[in-house]
Amino acid sequence: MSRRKFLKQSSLLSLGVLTTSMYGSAFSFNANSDVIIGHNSHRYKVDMAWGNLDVSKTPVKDCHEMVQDSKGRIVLLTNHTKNNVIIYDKSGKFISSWGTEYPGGHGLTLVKENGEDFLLITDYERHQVIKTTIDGKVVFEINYPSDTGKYNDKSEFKPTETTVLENGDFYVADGYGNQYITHYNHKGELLNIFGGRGAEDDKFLNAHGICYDNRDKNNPSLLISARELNILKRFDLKGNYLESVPVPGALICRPVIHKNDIYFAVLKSKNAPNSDSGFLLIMNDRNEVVSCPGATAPSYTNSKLEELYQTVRLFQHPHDVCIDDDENMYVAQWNSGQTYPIKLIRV
Amino acid sequence: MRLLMVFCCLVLFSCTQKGSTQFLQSNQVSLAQPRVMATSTLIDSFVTIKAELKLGDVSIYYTSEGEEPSQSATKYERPIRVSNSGTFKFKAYHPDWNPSEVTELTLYKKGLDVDTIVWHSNSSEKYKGQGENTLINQTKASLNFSDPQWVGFDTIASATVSFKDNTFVKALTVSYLNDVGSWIFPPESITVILNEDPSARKIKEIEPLKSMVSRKMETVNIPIDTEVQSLRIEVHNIQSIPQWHEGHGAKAWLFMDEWILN
Repeated sequence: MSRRKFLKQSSLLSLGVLTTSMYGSAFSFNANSDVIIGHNSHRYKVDMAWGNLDVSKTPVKDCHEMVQDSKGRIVLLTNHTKNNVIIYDKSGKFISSWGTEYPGGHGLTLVKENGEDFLLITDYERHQVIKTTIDGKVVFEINYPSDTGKYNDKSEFKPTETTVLENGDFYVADGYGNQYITHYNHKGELLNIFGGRGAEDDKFLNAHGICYDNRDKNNPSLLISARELNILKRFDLKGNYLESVPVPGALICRPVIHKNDIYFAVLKSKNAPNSDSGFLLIMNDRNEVVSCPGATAPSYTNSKLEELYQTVRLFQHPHDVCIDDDENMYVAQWNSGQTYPIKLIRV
Repeated sequence: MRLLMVFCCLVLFSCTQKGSTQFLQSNQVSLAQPRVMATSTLIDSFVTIKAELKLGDVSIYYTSEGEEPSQSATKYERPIRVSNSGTFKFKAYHPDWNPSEVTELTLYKKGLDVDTIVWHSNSSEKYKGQGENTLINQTKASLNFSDPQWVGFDTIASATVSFKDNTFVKALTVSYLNDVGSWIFPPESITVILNEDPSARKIKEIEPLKSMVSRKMETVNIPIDTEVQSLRIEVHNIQSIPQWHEGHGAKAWLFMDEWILN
């Protein structure tokens, strides 16, 4: 967004607050007309005002990803280099912020080591993965995997996501780069590389997100979204392809496992005329879609999922979701006019 | 802007009603546009149009004379069978949510059969459609730019189409994709040279875009009104992406769909 548009929006925002306050008492909303979005077991009310901050002090650009830390705080990663990481409490109150050196800050994963929280940040402009403490001290940086022979130079490495195992091993998805998945030990030493660009089963088009799935303790695996293909793919920890879960119409961002369900922000609907046609998607423990807040109700015909698409223009480009310990959900949006996250209260 | 207004209201309400969360109300959000699908947009004998927005209590209304559908327009109940060209507009209404924007669909009469097409410019390697005849194969593309009925160019689309014999052509209709979010822009101008005679030239300029718009398929109509054996058609891309766009200064894409001669 241009600076001019940004200024226009911020001045409108303050104008909106001043002018509408005079008419505020004229509006009375019946509690019964609160929007409820979603289907079946996963339905939510929508709090658009959650986490709104003073744009002159704590601005956001794209809100890329969010996690909840061990203290229950909500951690947001934005590519605004005035404050790349913003930490909130669950009510949306600002606690602190840090980070000015992540112009392509995209992937955010919480790592718990011996009772201490760390963060793994992917930065597609720096072509790096960076491990930091929860308050922003850099632990290590990982550059492109030059020894693998899969990359000509660092510019081909544009990592979008990480996921971490119990033993500290982690995987990096190069969703905006050459589409490889790289596997490292806890020290950041490369162990394996697999995937690559393509529409075949074991390859990706936009390997945007990756998530360690240990819901089945005997068969832990990796879930990786091939966003452009509208498919969630499962691999074993060695990088062997296992299965595909198609989600027709849904450009799914990263899978987020909370308890036995998988949650996704869907950037946009594949065949919608408007680009800002995103929604949210929730799968149950059998990887069946059970709820799509902001979109068509999931329905299966001969065990094939019908194409999903946005039905109400509430979300713009949802990019990540975070589910807190109260089962409420936070939605970070990309290219939404520099808006702060939205909170959904489960009903 | 729509969300910004919602946002302003909510900031306010959270201030005036301290302590209680003011949740989003359905009258603050619009429905998405209805999905409209036609068996073809080129009519040989007839085509069938379907419209849907799969959300409870939604009603879709439509018009076929170009006016915006109100709730007193015809209600969509079942697929519509159409045998004449025209523009259909569909709009979704709901008791709680605000009405949708309009989805527009234009149907054309199937064009004259062209004998040959000779290309003077190359399409992009990635978006070459279904080969040289894609623009005269009497099949229109969908809204999705990766549909193989689209042919993408980054400078100019230039080709000569010929008939077997001299044929009276009333008009040429050029269809293109307007999807500025994907850096695909309407052309700047179209030149048609009749029978390879540089003095028999028709030029059509296209009004440049001034801001972001939802993606849609558009057409421009160029009257010919004469007997011709061949037409050299040159569709010029805009020089560079305009200032108001995030990609300003860079090359824009030009995506061509069917060239229809009637």
